[in-house]
Amino acid sequence: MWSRLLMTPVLLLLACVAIACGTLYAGSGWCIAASGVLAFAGGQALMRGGLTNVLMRARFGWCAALPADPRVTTRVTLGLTGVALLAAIVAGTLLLGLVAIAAPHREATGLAATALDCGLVIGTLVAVWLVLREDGVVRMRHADGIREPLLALPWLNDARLPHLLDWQRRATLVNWRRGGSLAIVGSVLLLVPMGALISAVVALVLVTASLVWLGVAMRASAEVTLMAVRLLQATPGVAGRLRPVALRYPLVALACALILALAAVILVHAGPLAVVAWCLCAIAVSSWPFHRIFVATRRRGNAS
Amino acid sequence: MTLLLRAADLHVSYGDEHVLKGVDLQIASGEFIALIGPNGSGKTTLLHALVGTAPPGRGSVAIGGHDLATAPCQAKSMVGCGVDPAAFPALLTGRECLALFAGARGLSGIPSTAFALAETLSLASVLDRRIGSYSLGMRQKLGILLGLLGEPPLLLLDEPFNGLDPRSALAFKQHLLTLVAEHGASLLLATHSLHMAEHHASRVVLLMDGAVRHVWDAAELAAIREDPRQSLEKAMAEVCDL
Repeated sequence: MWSRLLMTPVLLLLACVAIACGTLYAGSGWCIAASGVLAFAGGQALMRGGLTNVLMRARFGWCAALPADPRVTTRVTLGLTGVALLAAIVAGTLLLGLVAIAAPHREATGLAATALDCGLVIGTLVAVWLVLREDGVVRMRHADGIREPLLALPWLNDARLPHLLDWQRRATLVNWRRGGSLAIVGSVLLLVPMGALISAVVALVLVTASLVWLGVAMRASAEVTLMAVRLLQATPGVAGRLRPVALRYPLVALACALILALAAVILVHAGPLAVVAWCLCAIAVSSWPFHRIFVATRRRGNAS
Repeated sequence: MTLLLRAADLHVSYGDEHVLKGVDLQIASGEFIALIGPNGSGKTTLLHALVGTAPPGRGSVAIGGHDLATAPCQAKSMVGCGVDPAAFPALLTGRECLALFAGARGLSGIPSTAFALAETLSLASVLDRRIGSYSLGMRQKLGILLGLLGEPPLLLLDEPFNGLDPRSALAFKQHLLTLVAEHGASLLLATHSLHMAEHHASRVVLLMDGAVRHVWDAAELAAIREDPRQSLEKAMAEVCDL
């Protein structure tokens, strides 16, 4: 759950993009709505993913057989969620304050911060409600069984370490289905003002979906790489071969997300500034997972 | 016989806990060494140290003449070690996991011997199922297949019979004995099965408190087997009481 809080800056960058685009709709009300709705969607998605992971471990992990009162487990989990929410609010407010220095509608920063905090709180409450529903966790467990992607890409696999890419891709799919990430995309649709061109709506969805999916793919790829390092550490020559193979899927994901973003840019005839903004968001989403992959696959000693 | 593994003065610590305290071990080709000892004596850590997956410590390991610290690739290519079932990728099938390990070992594909062993262990029919749906026994069998992939000359196995059904356990035991007797493979088996150690091993090493407490060589084991009043269990108890 704590690592997911790292998504807060990404959320704020999205809000920043929204604020930067505010002039398009000639008003700061839209910016405030953007902060609130994005915070709601992001908070809901992040907290839901974290809560589901924790409760699934409690229900189906090794500790499930312990004689622990499920109500105590739930109370502890909710307490941790509260702490995580507080940390997100503090981090979010501070970062928004920094972002406001360069924002075109600086007078609306206070309202935007309030909207952001309210969005996080409401998003968290919705996540708690969704997960704690009678069979919420159980349904998530069953959803894990459906993992085959619509479009299989066997030619992407590297023969040096076959199926590592499949592992990363399947983990991405599982995390995408678990994390409620689609809620963010859906929420962005709510931000579209009346009378907006359909091309602008499609572009907005493409930009948001590409960034959210990229974040999920990057985090899943890094997790799988760490697990692969542990699994294969006794085999010869892996240290040298693992990094290029482990980076293949994240790079493909980055390329696919960039194509989606470029399509959005072409749709609305946006300038290079929009591409730069998207790239900044992509860097924010990808840098930590890339760092984890590089650290996990670094050669130790004279390993070849 | 050729010396295949030489470990000298191995020390391994987990934080302040000194698990291995200067272990010396030599394994010749074609030897079957049983590593016995109470829980927490350092058997698993010793196996990890021999393939370089334990925390760095003091001492040296050479496999086939290649130093594990300076030439890990060459050294590791000669070792096959069982894989902890808890570390398996739940999202891959057994066949995909085998292919991943074959790639990691530098093999061009999954060797036919792996499929033959899968048949022997009654695992072939589930190789296309996701590992996440495997039972404990199936995972243990897959761990064995991964350890023996490519039939490396030195096998390090940690309680490989745990979780196996009796039929599979018998088949696997016969497979191991064949590998040692007919293919010249060396085997270091960490086990609590004193029966297996007493009747099949060419040497038994007792590890206690992170150090080698006693070694029974082939002649001593033969004497124990011939004397109906003696057993490895009694001999171990005597050593432990010293």
